[in-house]
Amino acid sequence: MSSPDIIEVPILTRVEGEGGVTIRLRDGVIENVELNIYEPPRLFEALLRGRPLEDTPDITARICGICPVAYQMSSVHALEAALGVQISPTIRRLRRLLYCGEWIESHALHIHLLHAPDFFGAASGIELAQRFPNEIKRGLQLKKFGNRLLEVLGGRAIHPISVRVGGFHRLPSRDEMASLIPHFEWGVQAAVETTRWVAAFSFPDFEQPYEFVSLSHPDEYPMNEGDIVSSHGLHIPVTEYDRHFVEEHVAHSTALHAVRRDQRTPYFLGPLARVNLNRDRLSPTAKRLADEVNFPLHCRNPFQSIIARSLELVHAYEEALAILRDYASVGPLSSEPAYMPYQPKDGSGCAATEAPRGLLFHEYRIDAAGKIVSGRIIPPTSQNQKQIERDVTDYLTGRLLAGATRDDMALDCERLVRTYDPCISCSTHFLKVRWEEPT
Amino acid sequence: MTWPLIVGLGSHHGDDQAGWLVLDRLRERGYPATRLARLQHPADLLDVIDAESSVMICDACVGGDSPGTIRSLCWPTDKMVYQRPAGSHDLSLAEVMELGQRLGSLPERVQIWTVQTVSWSAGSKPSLEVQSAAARVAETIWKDHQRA
Repeated sequence: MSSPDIIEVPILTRVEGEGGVTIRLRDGVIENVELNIYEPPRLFEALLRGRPLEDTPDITARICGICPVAYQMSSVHALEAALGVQISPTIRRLRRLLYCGEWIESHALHIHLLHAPDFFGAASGIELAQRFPNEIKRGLQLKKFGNRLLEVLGGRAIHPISVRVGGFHRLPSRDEMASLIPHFEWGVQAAVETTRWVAAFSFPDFEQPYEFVSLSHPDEYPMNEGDIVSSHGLHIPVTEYDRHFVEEHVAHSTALHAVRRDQRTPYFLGPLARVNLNRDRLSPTAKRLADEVNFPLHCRNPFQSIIARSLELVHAYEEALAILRDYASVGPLSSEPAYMPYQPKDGSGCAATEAPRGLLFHEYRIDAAGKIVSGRIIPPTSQNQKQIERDVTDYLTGRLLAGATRDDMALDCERLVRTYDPCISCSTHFLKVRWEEPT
Repeated sequence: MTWPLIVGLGSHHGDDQAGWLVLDRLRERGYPATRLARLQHPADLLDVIDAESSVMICDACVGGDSPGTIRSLCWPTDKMVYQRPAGSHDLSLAEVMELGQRLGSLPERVQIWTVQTVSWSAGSKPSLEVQSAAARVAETIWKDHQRA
């Protein structure tokens, strides 16, 4: 038997996190693909132990500079479940608004500067800007207003500081919210134009029989709550997450790999999963637009995630606009509390919310003094890793058969990984791609 | 008299206020407030600049110099060496300048003043070295403008 050969593509840019991909070929076929995550474990769960539960949203937010709201949301919902806290309709609505801001800033940048360049052979968003200056300017404006929303509601754009268990430290004024309305009126239409632009891209012909997984809520597009559903018929409350999903250690990664517990199969999270499973609950404009651009009803092409992400950009702008208008016109009652009070008590709770990249699960146990006994955090990229490896294997197998060069396949690998908008370790730097093949 | 746009990049954290301190001093000297832009994120630069107006940028920096050291760079002729941002969703000043150039939003040359920093503790006051250096940068900008 021949020994494996190693091919290395040293750097993949425009993904979040430091990692690598090793592709091992033997006798002309791909034998194994490993998504190597070599950033040291960050041990946030251990850091939380013994600390007051009130510290949790701000500490877990530090896991990621791009999706801090997701970590805040999953943590406060899980802790409120443990404490038996019921939040008010106003707080619930403002949390969705905050999440809209995060989706907007994350999606707008990924679409325009990180992902779109792949469809034009551009090395970066900066290079793409020369060819599509108006589109890139529009993308930067779209992102900016997401940041503005986070600043107004969260106190600052990165690592907002207004979120607390039970609600917010302060509620925004009606004037603050009203000042954003013109920007969000523009944003809805601008996001529509972005969606039309990306829907016209040329997509590689690659479809897989994925199991898509996301939250699902009967009345709204999933963000802060809902049951966990899948395209293979799963429908469970979040409290049953562990009965159906499990994390595993793998030797080549410092991040755990999540798989379906019984089948040991990978699954697919993120905008494509959410749109596929919740299309009828997109905002009216986003729903009409999905039909207009002929977005497949059950899209199984990961490269078309950019369309799903754009549809969610429209949704987030439109939902945010509706909340802003409502809040600016009626606002909260002067007597309305910014947060719901609670008494610490022994207990445990879990929650899942939809981060820009997919379902983010948190679980905490607290003691009678309100200290964290244990915590568990399962981010979306950890759950997508196995699926990414499977995708790279299948896609590059086809490209090998089609006679693609190694250089082309290395680029293909990077492009495919980027469709997931991975947040490796919830941070990013570079992904190194390493090939192994018989010499 | 044409007043160049002076951009101060910074945050509330320690010496990262260097760029903002330059603006404060210029405002005290009588520089028009409408030509002073206090920004937090380099990407915000694209909101305030245009290709027709001259612009100067004042920013804190981390390097091998002693605290309070002032350097003046001219973009794009002087190479800016920026540490890679913590994530791909951050845009460094160098990336924003390049993006602005591609978008046709930047003047041909941009002067950048940097002040070597000491402390970045959250919410802390700027160090004396940086306060002094920021004042010197402001005085230089002010006097250069008066001579022009």
